[in-house]
Amino acid sequence: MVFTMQELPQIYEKMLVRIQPEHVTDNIECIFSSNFSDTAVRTSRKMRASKYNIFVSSVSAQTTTISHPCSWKPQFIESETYSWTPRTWFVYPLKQDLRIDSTFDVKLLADARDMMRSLFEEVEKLNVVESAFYNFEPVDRPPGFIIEILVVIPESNRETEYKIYYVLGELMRRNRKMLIDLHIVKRRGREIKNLIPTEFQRWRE
Amino acid sequence: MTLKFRLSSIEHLEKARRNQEILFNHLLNFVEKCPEWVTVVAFYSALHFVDAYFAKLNLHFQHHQERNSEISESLKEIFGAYYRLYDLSVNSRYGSMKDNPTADEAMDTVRNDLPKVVEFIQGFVH
Repeated sequence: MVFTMQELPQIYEKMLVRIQPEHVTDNIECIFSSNFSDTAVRTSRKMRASKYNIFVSSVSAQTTTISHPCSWKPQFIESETYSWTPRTWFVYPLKQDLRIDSTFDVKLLADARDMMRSLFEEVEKLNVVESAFYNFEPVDRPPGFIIEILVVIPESNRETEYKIYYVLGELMRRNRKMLIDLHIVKRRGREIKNLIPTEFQRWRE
Repeated sequence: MTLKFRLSSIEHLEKARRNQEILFNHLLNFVEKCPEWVTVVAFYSALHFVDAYFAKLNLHFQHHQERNSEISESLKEIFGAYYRLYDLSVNSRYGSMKDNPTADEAMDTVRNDLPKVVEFIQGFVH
């Protein structure tokens, strides 16, 4: 753990995570999947690409937000020690060149995830949407990242595309602080794994 | 270094109409051969029409994401049409050959999406 229990109230208050040296040295991706259960299901796997070298997960625990640098192994975690009940999970890739001691707005990221959930729920209602992916691309202007979204459909279809853009427009109106860049990918008989850049994550609850 | 052009509304309209002219007088003759450039020029025509509107409000955008967000708010009537042009032009410029729009898609966006944007904006700026 990077943060001590004494630090947690401060982190919660500010909803900011200070980037520590440990954040940029680890090469394991951790995914917290809660499914609203008492026990977090943890998986770790080697990163697909060395482009990103850490993932920060913010885990809501009643009123506390904890940031995990993923430098620990799941088997060392005991449920008595971590009695939190994660309500959601968040995976965020940071680029290698993120400055040490820079801060990270976890609250905004959590909002971004809520926003994406809303978008994907609507998009998934469209039968022709095969898959959806997202990526956070750091940028040097507020809010510091662009939410990149790829929606895969089999072939061009004006009506479907307009429906997706309608959902996107609604979402943009409700989240003016966010920078969103959605693109529709027409699969055209190709395999999805050959279409989506490795830094993108498949959307799943 | 990022170049920051601040064109007036009239200057944006000039660019928009020049792109339209090149599109309809020249590029459409080759739509089967280069549908991707048809969509790119169609998009940049739409972009300058939209920017002509925003320039009247003293709004100038350096990035697509901010512009798209503003269109979703203040020009929501044409958001879908504009975004389709934007999306197709991104595929044209950065995607593989298979991501390129087909000639049918290019013609469809020129016949349907671009006119929606142009007609709407011309109701506000002349």
